[in-house]
Amino acid sequence: MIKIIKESLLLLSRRKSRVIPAVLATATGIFLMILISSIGSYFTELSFGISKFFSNRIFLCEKKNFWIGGGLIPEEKVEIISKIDGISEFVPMLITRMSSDDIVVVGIPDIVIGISLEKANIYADSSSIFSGKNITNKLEALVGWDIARRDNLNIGSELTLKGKKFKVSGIMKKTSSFPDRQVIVDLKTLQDITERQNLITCVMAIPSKGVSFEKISSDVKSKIEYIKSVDSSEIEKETSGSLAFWNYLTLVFFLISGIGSLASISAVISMSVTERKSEIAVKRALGAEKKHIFSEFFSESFLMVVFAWIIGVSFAYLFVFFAQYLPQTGGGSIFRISFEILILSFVWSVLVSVFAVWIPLKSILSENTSVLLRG
Amino acid sequence: MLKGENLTKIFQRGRNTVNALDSVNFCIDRGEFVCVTGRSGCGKTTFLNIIGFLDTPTKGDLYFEGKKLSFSNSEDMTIFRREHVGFVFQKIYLQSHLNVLENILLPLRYSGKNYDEGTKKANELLEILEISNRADFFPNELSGGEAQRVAIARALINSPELILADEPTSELDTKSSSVIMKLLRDTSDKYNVSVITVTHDPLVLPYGDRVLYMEDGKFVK
Ligand SMILES: Nc1ncnc2c1ncn2[C@@H]1O[C@H](COP(=O)(O)OP(=O)(O)OP(=O)(O)O)[C@@H](O)[C@H]1O
Ligand SMILES: [Mg+2]
Repeated sequence: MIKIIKESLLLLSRRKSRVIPAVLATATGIFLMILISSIGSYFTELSFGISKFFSNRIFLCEKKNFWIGGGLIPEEKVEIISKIDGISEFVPMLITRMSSDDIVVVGIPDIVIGISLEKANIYADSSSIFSGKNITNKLEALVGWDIARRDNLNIGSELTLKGKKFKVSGIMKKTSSFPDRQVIVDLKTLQDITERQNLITCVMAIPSKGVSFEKISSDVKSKIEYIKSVDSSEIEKETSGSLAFWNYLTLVFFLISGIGSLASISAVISMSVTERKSEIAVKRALGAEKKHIFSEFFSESFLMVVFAWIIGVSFAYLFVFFAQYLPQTGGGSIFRISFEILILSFVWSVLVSVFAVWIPLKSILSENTSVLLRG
Repeated sequence: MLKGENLTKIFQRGRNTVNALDSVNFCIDRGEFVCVTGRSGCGKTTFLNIIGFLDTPTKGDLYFEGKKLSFSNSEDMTIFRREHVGFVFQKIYLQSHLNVLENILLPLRYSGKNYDEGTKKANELLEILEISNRADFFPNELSGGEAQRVAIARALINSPELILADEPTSELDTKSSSVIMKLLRDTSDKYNVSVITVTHDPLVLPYGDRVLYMEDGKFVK
């Protein structure tokens, strides 16, 4: 085995003027396959992250216009909400957009959340904090992962929100969901600087053990007519089914990358077989059995794919590394090169190359050697 | 050693049928050197392909040392060819990415014979063919005559009983042609190998023990 590989390596290096372009072309296919599927992977991650975020909480919001910075609820109504059975914790919060100008971002917008200092630990407990600690005074801010990276924030950094300076007390772990693009500050302070004294946007509620979301929802519905409960399915509805849409997108991206790479890799590899027809004919005349020819071509194309894969992966990582510094991505990147993508892209490339060798080779070998020799 | 009976090859091309080989009877002894000549398109290459087990006849049988050969399985044909027949082609057909020594040893790779012994034999052949100083050259660094000598060494490396050469000198000048023919003749004598050479060149004919004239797929006197 090692002998065959060594020999193939030598032969490939001797034919480098043909082999290098073929490897580069294959590498381009693999590069694009990885990039495109990494976008799909980003959407999967987003969809998983959001489902996870909503798995243990429910948001009780103003009925008509609950979405970010939307309908406001007077703070005294929290009293009524807190009386609903089956809620173990509730956290009143005020949500606003971070910037007033509407930057269109893929995925999740940047928001500021005001939470009272004593409840901040319920929204973000210690297990969700990456470094530093939660807010403990009026001028501290707990920053989400993507925002911290985009604005280059560390513990102790200064951060200006709506004209007011905050000090970063901690950075949250990556969730691939809303918290990545959130900044958490004291509720009173946010109410003051946005001039929304005594107003909140919603109450985050964590159901007690064994109590279903549906029960709380229906209790809320019957008891407080201007409040509605928002869970992941509601989010899905309100964002025009974006979770389902993201899953769909994932599939589309994986399909495009699979088919695109199939076309490009198989074209290059099968051409590298057919252009060696006369070489095959001579080898057959000199006594090479079909299995010899197959093993020569399979081992050479396998090595070519391995090289192409290494090059393709390296360039994909480079590309993704630089892409995150593009201003348009808003700090986050829409590429996720997961371990699964690496493995799948390798297996897929090898599989495609095996067929791209096998099919033309089989047809060449089925021809009469004397006819092949005549050219 | 090799006997063909009634060898017939008919090519079907749509409505056209070409009788490339027409009931040819033929026999060659061990160590014999035969030249085959005739007009272009009379069937010489077809004849070589069939007795070299590269192609199957439409009709007729081939006997090797009294044993009838079967054309039914192309892999069996390949193995027979590898063990008993060496080819020298008009277009020489060296593998451009293998050096001289590797080209000569190529048939051994498929026959699975001992490489060290093969290398020894290859060096001996290089010596006899007077190209030892070219062993690590690549085909594009050789003259036509040198390349054809490499091809002869390659044909001999598996110690075949029969060498089939299809116009081995037609791409060479007169001087190299006579060198090649002399070497073919000498190695044939030295290793007791039968040789069938197809040629258009009248200067080649004297190297043969006998000359066969072909016309429209038949041998004529
Ligand atoms: N695969 C094929 N299909 C159809 N006809 C063929 C095929 N191969 C050869 N022929 C025909 O068979 C005849 C004999 O061809 P062959 O190559 O044996 O001639 P040749 O004597 O070797 O000629 P030359 O001296 O030009 O090499 C020719 O008329 C040729 O057109
Ligand atoms: Mg011919």
